[in-house]
Amino acid sequence: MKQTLQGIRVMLADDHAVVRLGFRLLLEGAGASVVGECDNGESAGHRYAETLPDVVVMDVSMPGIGGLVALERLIAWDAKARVLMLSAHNDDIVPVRALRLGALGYLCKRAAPEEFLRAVGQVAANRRYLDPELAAAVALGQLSGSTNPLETLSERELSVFIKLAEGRSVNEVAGDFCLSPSTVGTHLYNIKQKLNVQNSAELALVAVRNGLIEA
Amino acid sequence: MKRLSLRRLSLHTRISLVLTGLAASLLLVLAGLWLHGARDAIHEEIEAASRVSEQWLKAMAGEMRSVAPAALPGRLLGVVKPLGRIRANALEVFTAEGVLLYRSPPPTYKAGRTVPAWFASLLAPHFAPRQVAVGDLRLVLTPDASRSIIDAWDDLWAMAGWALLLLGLLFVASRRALDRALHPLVQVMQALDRTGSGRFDTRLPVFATPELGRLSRAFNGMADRLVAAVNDNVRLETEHEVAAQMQARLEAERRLIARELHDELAQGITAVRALAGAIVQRTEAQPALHSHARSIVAVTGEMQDGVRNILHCLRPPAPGGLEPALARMLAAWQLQHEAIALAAEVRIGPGAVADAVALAVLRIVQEGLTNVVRHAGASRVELFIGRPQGDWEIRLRDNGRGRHGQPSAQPGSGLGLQGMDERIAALGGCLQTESPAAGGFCLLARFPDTSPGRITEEMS
Repeated sequence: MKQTLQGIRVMLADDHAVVRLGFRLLLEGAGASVVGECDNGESAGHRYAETLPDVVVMDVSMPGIGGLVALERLIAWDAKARVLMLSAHNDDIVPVRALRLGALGYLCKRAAPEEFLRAVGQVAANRRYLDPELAAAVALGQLSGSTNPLETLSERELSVFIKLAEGRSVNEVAGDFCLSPSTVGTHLYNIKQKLNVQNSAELALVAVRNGLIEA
Repeated sequence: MKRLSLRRLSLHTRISLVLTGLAASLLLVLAGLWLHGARDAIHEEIEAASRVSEQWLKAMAGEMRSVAPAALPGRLLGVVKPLGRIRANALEVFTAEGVLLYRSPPPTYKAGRTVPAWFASLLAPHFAPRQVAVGDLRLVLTPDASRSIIDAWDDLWAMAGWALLLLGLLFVASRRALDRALHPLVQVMQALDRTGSGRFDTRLPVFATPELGRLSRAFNGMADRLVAAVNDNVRLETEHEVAAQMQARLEAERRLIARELHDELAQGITAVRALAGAIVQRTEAQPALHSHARSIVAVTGEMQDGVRNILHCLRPPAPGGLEPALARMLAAWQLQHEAIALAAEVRIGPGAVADAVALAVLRIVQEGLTNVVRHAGASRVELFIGRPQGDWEIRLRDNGRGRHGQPSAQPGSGLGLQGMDERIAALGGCLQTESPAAGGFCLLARFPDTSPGRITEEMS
């Protein structure tokens, strides 16, 4: 517990209040201050604009638009935003996505408290951070030129895909992302083509298998 | 055309026709014999008649010898004329000069009637006219069979009429008898039709006729076996369906548990871990509390590993097809259990693998390997996965403690052998286990390939 995050201003985005509490105590114990908290992706942007934290710690899976889209918006609003993404899953697809979208760090939620603080410190120092447990899988996934069809989805398509796989309707997803339903429909069409799935049940199955959603 | 129309006749009519035909040919032979007899009879009759007549004429000629030649014609005609025809012989009297003095009148019996020439020539005997001399006069006696032939002709017609009547009766009677005897065939045909349309409860009565009785017994036996086979199929299908539903529910249950574990337990542990970490940060001055908090952090780490392992078992296989998923799983297993040498041979070959099959293969291998770790105490495991001869085959052999090392039918946590057996049964296969004398344990799972590509191949 020697990490010192003295003076670092952190914003927490996680839908689990007790998890936020734990992280907050941890961060404060290390000298950082939690300047903002939110429990969904939509409000993350506002809270960021209000508080302008040094580091955003954000869960990938949250209600509403979810972490990835929130990340995308945040980066769109402030390309210099330093974001550490957290995930309960340990697949190798979402980390790559998140890092490509502009996140500086990616950490599994199951990591030890020290590792969490180190990750926050790294991201605060504007250095890239990737969970050591995931690093090997991510590297191998990139090297082997994985044939996973999910790789072919664009960032936007992946976000829409996850939402649809969670069982939300096209109109609801359009509402989540402030898109027109026909645009979401086009995304859905492309997703189905790329993943070679016929219906929403198969869509959900692909998502579950990839660890993108829990069944 | 004729043959076609014959074929269209019913069996009864055809057999009756054959019988009637046989009887008709018999009658024809009889008619031939009768004609032959009639011919002989006519011959004898005419022969006898003309001989008697000749003798009588000769006797009369002897009597007339004393009569004066001038008076002779008068006397002779006086005797002959009243006689008319002498027993079917025409009589003519000629003078010495050859002048016809007298000719007997034509026959009065069936006068004016004739028979066809062919019939007459068939029966008519051939006799030369007989001549008797009385003084200068010459008597010519000509046998005439025409009346007998007419009689024979009439008899023939009468007999033909009776014969036709008889044949008609025979036809009708045989047809009715056949109708009655073959009536069970109609029932047999109806029963076959009913069975053919899917009503397998149809049964035939045991007929009195031995052959038909055997037929009905054979039919009933066949129907019984058919019902048994259908019932077997239905039972198997039902069992299969029940097993498949059980598996589906099991998977659903697993997903539910996985979600609960992930959403609630894992997040809870994360929270506890973070909180414990926060306590660790703040209690450096209080060693007792500090070390407890550290313990909590460590224990939560173990709990997270445990949850992760359970989730790993509960989750459906990862994407990218069976082969990469297997490779990932085997690599992960080998990493976790370095003390056990794993020799895996995976020969799935080209062609699609159905999701259910892929899941089953992964689960079977997973469970089998888990058993090896838990119970076998083995140092080496050989695994074969493939589809030789079209059927899936999973062979897992270890060099451990053998059957005693294997789990009981109701293991504590995993699916155990029974769960594996149920999973394989749901796919229509079977699970065999054996414990060779040399030690170790061998598990062999076989089940048919229901993958889409395979089915298309078979259909094309």
